[in-house]
Amino acid sequence: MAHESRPRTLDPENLAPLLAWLSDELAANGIAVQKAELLSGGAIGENWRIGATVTGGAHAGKHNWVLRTDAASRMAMSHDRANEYYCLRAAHKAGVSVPEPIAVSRDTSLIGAPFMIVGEAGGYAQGRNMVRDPEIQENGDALAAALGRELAKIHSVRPPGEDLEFLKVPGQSPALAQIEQMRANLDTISEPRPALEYVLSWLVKNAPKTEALVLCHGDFRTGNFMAEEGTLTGILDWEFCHWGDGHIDVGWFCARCWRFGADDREAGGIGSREAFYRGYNQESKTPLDESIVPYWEILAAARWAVVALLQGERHITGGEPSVELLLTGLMAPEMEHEALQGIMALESNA
Amino acid sequence: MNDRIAKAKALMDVAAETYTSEIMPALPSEKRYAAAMTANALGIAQRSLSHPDPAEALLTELRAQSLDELSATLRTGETGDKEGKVLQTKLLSFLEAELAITNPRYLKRYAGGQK
Repeated sequence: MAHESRPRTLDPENLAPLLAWLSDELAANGIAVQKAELLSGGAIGENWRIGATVTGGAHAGKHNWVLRTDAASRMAMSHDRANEYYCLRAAHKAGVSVPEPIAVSRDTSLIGAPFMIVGEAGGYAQGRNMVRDPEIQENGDALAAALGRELAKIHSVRPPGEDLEFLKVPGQSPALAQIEQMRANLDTISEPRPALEYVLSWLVKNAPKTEALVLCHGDFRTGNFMAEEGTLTGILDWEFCHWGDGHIDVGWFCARCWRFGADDREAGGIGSREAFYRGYNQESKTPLDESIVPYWEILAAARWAVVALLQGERHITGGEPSVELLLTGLMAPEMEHEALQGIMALESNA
Repeated sequence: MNDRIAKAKALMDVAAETYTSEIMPALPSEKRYAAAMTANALGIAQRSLSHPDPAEALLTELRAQSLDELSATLRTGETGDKEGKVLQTKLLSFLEAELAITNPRYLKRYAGGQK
């Protein structure tokens, strides 16, 4: 059952307030909309595809845009659409391949919810389909290297950034800040998870030193970028952006739990780790410290386990009965197992 | 296994069999995802009824009263006389007992130290 906490927002029959505002934002003479269709909607907010023609100003011409409304319910630590937009825009300015940022508003009088408008990126994003795509199976190293380069560009953004004052600078080691957040999340879960507690204590004891705080995407993985004919077209989902240790994104991307079963391609089920690292190091002024990536992969597995448990809890105590949420919660032992195996492998190699 | 559990298990077995062999094939394609999730949920419930409780073995092995108590101890990072490798092995066995219920395919693929 979908959790509907508010009615549909955008009304394709009444776009005048939105268009008047957008015309001002883009310093245009006018905007005509040819189509507005709902792509997906529900508890995570709505996505609308908008075909529009802009008259006058720097954006004059025909456009395909995506309007994303704010989520009705969000994960702890995730940003609202407006702040997500500012993160995306900072990445865009740093040269990262992202859907073009067009406009953002927190004014609920326009369509009933905060929203952002971005350019439409071509291709598709679904992770499970992507790792099985013959073009990616054949030519995945090129895509993995491209993703490495993009990640290095994201990490080139350093605090305080532009319009990013809402991102808190962690007062402690970024790894410890992550663990503290995970423990706080676990305290809201009704089921105790001893193996996960063990993993988190291990992560505290073995936390690496962070050399420099950078803009971290926070959910950089297969499933969160668009590709068309095996080529990257845009990195999506900026709501978990934060200042932290860039290796968190590397670990998240390479962790087994985000390869969608394509374990022979360790970089996200897309390509080889070597290709991904090579792309990163070609672009970055600071090379990756490969020796600490296994630590961040263990942290990634723990973090995904915590998120899965939070999802399951939405069914158990959160008043959102859903087979999907409950099954996601039941995936936690998989990531706990991955994390513990990771620790045991590291220690047996030490 | 007591009678009540045995009856619940027999009921789940026949319901799951009917669902996967008769109902699922008749559903339209747009219901395929929901149907697969439902079949998965039924399978987990079936295995929960036929497997021992993974927590019981862990608590006995580690001489703990409850998962709450054990989790709180593990959070402190002080594992006392429980030597690292032994503790890791026991926690891994506990997770594998859980995975035998929640995802046997995962277990088959990744148990035994594969990475």
